[in-house]
Amino acid sequence: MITVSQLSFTYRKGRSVLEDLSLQLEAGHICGLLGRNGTGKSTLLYQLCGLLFPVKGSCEVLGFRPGRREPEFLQQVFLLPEAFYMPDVTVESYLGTYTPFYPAFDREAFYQYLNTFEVPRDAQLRRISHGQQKKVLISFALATKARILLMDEPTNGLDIPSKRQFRKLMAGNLLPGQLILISTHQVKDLDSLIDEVLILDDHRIILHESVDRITEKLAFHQVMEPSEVPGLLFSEGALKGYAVVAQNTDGEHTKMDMEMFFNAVLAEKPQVLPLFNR
Amino acid sequence: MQFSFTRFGYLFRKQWVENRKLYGLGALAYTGVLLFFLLFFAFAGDLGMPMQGLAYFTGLIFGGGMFCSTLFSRLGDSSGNTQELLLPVSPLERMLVAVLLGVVLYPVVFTALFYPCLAAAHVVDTVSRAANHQPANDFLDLGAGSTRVIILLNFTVQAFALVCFLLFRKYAFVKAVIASIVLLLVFLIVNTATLKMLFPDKPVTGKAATYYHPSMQNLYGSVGFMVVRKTNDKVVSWENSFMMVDLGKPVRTGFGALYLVMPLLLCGVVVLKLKERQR
Repeated sequence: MITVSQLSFTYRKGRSVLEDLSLQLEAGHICGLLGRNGTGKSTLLYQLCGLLFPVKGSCEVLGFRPGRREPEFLQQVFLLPEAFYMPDVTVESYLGTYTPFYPAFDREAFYQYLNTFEVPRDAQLRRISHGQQKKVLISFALATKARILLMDEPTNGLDIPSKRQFRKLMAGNLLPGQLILISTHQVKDLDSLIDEVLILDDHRIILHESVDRITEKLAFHQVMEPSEVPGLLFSEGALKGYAVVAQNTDGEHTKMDMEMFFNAVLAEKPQVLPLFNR
Repeated sequence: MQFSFTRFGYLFRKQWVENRKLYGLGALAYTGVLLFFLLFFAFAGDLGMPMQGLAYFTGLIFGGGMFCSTLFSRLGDSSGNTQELLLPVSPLERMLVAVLLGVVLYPVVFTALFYPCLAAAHVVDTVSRAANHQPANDFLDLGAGSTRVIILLNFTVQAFALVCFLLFRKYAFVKAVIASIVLLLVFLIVNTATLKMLFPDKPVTGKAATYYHPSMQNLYGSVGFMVVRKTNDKVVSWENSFMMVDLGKPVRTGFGALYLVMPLLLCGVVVLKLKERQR
């Protein structure tokens, strides 16, 4: 579905963002693209939808070269940007203007999502809060039924109940043959939502694993004394004792703590990454 | 190059729905400015054809430039350009919508606003001239040859404006005006140099004859000369009239083609710039 090979990208000011990045993604997953601020998560998303062109290497999405931005390609790929524009129209008028561009758009589903987010149908887009505007855009993005849905920091600007609504919506709306790629640095927001993790660091994808394989290799615990944990990789002080990430030596299944995992990978690269080398 | 009438229609509708308030306010503002200037000239007793032409073409070209600056404004806006660039339409459809709005519809709407304002000012002008026992001024005739040339020139200017608004991300309007001035200066310098090359500054030896020729109708395929009298290399007098030298049909055709080819070339540049536009 997405094949990126040896892609490099440098902004005009000369700052290299992506170097020799290769990646392959298949349909049927909700992938979390994690990384620190400024590591190039948004840049990678822009490459995948054709907003930026590779300086070196290639990118193929659904058999198209994204940089050509052919209408048939853009009908199947939708990017929910972090910063967005909303015209001074009503939700109804917005739908009337934009839905014709997306042949698979599902109006009923859109209104359903809007109800879940508790946004009034007759809202004037410029008169509602930024968070509510974002909810309209998230609902629109999901209702396009695009085969590839790219989301750049979708939970930024959402309050805590809305983040829960967002997770609920996303979890129940992955279509067969669809791929959802969510970029965020607020990794906690993606807990229990994603089934594949990509970590972007040092200008490339340093880890690309399914959540199942991560929990197969690692165990996540809350302990009072970290030194007693066998195969300890990373620990962090918590309210009651320590949250730890350790090697899963006895095949137990623990719930993955996305934030702990992300921190463990970044802090203990030499110890954690070799566990996933195939 | 991809083109679909359906998508073109959707894009045109989107442009209208999102900007109709702006367009309505703009039309009101243009009407106010036009009325102000035309009435001012009418009260000053100077609403002749040249002044009407000046008001019309200044409004058409500069107002058109301002209008064109709004057509691609979202592409230069960091929060809006992502959605705009990812809208499933082709660069050709995008360019044609801009051309339809900026080069076709804007002149029509502007003309529709101009003539009622002119009619109102003309009443004032006629009354004031009648009081001075002067005949009423004629109305500006848009079918005249020189007018056609300027309308064609407007196509080129607006196409150039579209290119500028795609080229410049920040302060696009100011930069577009500066680019136009620079281009005009270059044109004047090249034009003068070429004419000097073609017609060296030598005393006229032959007999000069004057005859009427509708030179403005042949798309400026003529060169203007001023009669200057010199004594000991010092200019002693000049006549405030021009003699037009017809450069012949092939040259006239060339000039005419230039007026048609230039906007088309510039529209081609617009499509290419849209295609290679990145966030």
